[in-house]
Amino acid sequence: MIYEVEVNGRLRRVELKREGTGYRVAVDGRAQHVDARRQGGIWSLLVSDADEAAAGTSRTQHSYEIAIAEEPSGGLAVQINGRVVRASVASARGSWARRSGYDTAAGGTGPYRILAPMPGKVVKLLVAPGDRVDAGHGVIVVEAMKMENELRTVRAGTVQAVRVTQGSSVEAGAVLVIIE
Amino acid sequence: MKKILIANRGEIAVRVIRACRDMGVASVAVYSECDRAARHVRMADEAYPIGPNPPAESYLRIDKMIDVARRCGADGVHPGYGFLSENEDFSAACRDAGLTFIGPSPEAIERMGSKTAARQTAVDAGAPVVPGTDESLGLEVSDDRIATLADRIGFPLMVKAVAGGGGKGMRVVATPDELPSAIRAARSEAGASFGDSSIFLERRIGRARHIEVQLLGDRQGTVVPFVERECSLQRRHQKVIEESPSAVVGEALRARITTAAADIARAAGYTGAGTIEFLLDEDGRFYFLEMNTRLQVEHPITEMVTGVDLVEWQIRIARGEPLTIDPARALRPHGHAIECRIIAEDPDAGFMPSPGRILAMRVPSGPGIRDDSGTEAGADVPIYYDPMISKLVAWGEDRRQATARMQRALSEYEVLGIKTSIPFHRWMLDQPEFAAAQFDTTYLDRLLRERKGAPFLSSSDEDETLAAIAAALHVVSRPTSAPVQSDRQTGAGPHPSDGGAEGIAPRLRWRTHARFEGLRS
Repeated sequence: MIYEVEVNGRLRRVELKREGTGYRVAVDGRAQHVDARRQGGIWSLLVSDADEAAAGTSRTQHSYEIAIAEEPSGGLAVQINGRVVRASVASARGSWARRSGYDTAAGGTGPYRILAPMPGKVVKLLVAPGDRVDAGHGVIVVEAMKMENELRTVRAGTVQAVRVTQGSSVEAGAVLVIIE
Repeated sequence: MKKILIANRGEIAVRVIRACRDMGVASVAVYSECDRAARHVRMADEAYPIGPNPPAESYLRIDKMIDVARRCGADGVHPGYGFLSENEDFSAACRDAGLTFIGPSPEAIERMGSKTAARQTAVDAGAPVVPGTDESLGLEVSDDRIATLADRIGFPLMVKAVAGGGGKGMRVVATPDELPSAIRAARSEAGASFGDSSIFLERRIGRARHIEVQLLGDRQGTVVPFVERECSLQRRHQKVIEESPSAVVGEALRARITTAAADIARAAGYTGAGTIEFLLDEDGRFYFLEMNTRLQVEHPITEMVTGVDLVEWQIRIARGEPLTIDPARALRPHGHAIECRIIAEDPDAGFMPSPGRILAMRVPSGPGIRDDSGTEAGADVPIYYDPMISKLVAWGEDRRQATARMQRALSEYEVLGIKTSIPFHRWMLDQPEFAAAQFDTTYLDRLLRERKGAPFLSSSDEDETLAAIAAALHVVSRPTSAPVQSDRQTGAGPHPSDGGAEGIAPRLRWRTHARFEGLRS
């Protein structure tokens, strides 16, 4: 699974792949092995060398405690080593994974809605009702947290309805476009 | 005294309720509208509403406090600090209503609350005062007359409000030509803030430290002073870090300054807990500054180095008990204590207040750590009151260990949802001047000006990488609620067997699902 994560205004590409009891995680191409456990809003991350972990010869496992809280604005507040950084997550295919999970639903059928992942402003509509769209087709651009974010389709279909207009402000979770 | 009304909110209300519980005394909380579910309300044995959110309509209403005390049968009233704590009318209203005010008499508050009367009291007690005008300069005193007085005192000097506090109505005057505008500004600020535009002049003591002496006075006339507190680290006249003892006060100076403080308190007929503030110049000379006729925010550091519970003693003194504290013990610091005021503010945005909901909060603990807080996760920091959310105190065998423990505790402190002063405190404790204890009351403002708003804690590349990983994992494992339902309807949602997140996601989603179904049936 690939996510684009904005941390302190900088976009990072995070690739997660199951490996043993944890993940092989590549951030901007640099791989590490991460064993992750969650307890409420607190994460325990044990980080080790990716190649050693793959070969089962891990020596050093660094331990990190990370607290995460979801902000009403839609972003994530992440505390690590006593510092708080702001993060928001999108999948690499363009749609934010938060609240939607679009990237994981390639096998589904039937109509689906594209929701606003966080409060923002509709910058551009890329489709109109009746348009035929392929999977991964950009449908709408929403500006949030000072970034323009293109939301894309999960599967091929027809645009059934567009619920917003260009320039309108949207709340998190608002229905933007319905595809069937 | 069987039942005490706490005429305050936040951490100090919680602190007093804890003392009540320790002593087997019932506690009564009061609350404004937004504080209905606040921690002090939940902790108290009884709680009563006192009105809308603005302090002037609730926590500053003497009539409502007295009314609640009468109605619930409280026999004592603890004012905390701030709000009505230094209001002689409140102390008098309690006395008139047959309630025991846990603090000094109205006469002592009035006397020591007026800067000029307090100064005269210090002079009478033989304590050194900063050279300045002995009388209050009301509006009827001309600028020319004030200029003559100023020449006699010498420049630089300070124009201060007689009724002042917290840096309000206070101006530094470097040269005679700056005097008229400083008088005007101080008068108008003092008039607006305290309803009294009277001012006085004081010589400015260069590179001074703020050293204060906590004391307790009982109703039998015994006054016990405590080892000094060092409060020179101030931002715009507001203390940000306090410690006890001071690194620059030796035994001889301690004996002199605490004796002077006790003499002033006796001269004022002072009872209860109070603090006398001094300026200490570079040559080791000290000058009386003012008296705070209440419990101080920073009282815990004194408690940590002496082992004395000051709030419990406030209550015992109010009950008429004589002080039985060994004076030598009160003056001999056991180890070293530091306090950081954790404030809901954004140090990286000019220390702007940061009210709002606390999404997550975990307070530090462990050896030598004490956290006096009035809030927790899920609570709101209201816009109406002081933004201080907690006082973090570290004790160590010596200053070095106390500093290390404070640094450790600050790094453990987790607050999400609002900004706090924690990054500033961590930076501050890392400064070589802090380690060397080389600072005066102007040091911090000067240092902050030189930094020109540079961030206090920048996250490292490694931190940001880990944050990105954790954020992605968090989204993978997110126990979705409403979208799960809509996904079921549309078939477009996260599926338990989606790519790679097994192990975490399905279990959580099942649980969420079960809850969801349960709620709907």
